[in-house]
Amino acid sequence: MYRTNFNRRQFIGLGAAAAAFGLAGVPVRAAAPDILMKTVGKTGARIPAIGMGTWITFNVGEDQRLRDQRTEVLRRFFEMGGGMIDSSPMYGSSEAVVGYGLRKLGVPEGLFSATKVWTPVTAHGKEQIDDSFGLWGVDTFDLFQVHNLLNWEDHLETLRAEKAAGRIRYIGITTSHGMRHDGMEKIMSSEDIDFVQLTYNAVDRAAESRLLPLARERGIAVICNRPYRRGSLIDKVQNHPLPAWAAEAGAKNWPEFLLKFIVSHPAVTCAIPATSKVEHMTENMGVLKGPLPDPKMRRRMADHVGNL
Amino acid sequence: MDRLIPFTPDVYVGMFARYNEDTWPAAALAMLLGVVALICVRRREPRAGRILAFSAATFWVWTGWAFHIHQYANLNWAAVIFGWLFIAQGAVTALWGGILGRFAITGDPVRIRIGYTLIAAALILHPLLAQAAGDGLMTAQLFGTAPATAALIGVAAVSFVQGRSVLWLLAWPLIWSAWDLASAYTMALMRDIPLPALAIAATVYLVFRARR
Repeated sequence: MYRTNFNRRQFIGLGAAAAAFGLAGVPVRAAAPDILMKTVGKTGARIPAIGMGTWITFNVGEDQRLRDQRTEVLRRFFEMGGGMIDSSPMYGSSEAVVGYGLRKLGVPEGLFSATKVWTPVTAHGKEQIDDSFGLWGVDTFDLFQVHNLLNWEDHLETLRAEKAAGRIRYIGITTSHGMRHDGMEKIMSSEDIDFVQLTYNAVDRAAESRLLPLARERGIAVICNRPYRRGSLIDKVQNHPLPAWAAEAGAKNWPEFLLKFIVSHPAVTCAIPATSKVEHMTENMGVLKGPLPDPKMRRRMADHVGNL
Repeated sequence: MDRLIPFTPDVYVGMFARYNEDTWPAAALAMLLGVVALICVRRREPRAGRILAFSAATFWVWTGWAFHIHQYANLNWAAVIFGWLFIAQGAVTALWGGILGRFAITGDPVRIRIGYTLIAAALILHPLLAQAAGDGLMTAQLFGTAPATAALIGVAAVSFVQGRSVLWLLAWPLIWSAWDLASAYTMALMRDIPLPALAIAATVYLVFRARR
């Protein structure tokens, strides 16, 4: 993450002052001391339990209007205490659009920058990593992951060298759609990594059996992608009324219901819903407030969603 | 399939507006080139086959380079691969029909009619669909400069040519159109369905007709 020369108080104060003068290009970061934070595996660092994915939603190319609109989504994310933004070179222009937003808003103190390396060619990996720095406009990345385990042995070696050089804080691996769990388990068991990213939600729960317990055992932080199954899960549940007992789980709406299920798993560090709408970002970030469901309630939540 | 489409339909449609604006007057020049080729075909000019081949090749190469590699690749990593395949198709079309002179204009009235129909569709159908969808003319896949129309013109060019030895040039337009159709269906982008569907139908018909 890029480090500014300001401390948090100065940073917020400058943001407020600049906002008063109508300067849109100044960082916005609300103080949010009581939001749900989770520990990053064995490192002891803590990050907000809701991050932001950029798959599809931030791939808007050169469209200026859409880039500005996505910047407003980013602004809301940071205002509500957001930290982790996850992207990938596979996501088209998403990294460039995140970088555009960060340049326009200023790089907030709480940013946890996460992206991936995704190429079958080992030599191209370093070039792709360097490109990501340029696209985001940051000096260091908090997390670099090997996307979908592609060429993971070589890329992990490259990432370890980058970590040793101080350009990357943490390294990890990713899968999605419940695939390659065997390969991920093998890597988690044998390699020194900080993060894994996998698909986990109220209906895709395959990770519960081996990967999530293994992550806890090995002190590996877990990022959960596809929390809404690319929107199909939220579309499905929103045809039904939120159960009255959802309040006991701390959920005021369906997005909170689905996300609280995910982040309440003790092995999970954060979920990364993606959205292109400011109002949806507000709903997502609402998860950072209020109580979390206990294990018994989690089972009830999963059963309920599974039966819809 | 949806994993291969990392953008929303509105972003995809908007990309065509910017592309058409950025590359103007390429589409107008493409139309002009198309008209010249058609006149040559209609008059059965001695060099009509070569002109037809070089025209179709130009559309393949331009679309591969300008659209796929320089525009679409911003949204989709696979576009670079598509782009090179379009350029390769243009190269073999130019080689086969333009340099080797294997494009002899057919006397088969059915194939000629199919060719004209496809050209007419490449010229006006997508602009009409884009307008009807409320997206505006500038979001249309214009003649010879966009993938769906380049593929349709590629099929039309083969339709104008006699014999079966040229049919192998339909392989890539068929594959591309199938992909294009599946993409449009996945995105529920109805305006993008008719052109690839027409290219596929014409390709299948031409192949089966040639086998009879």
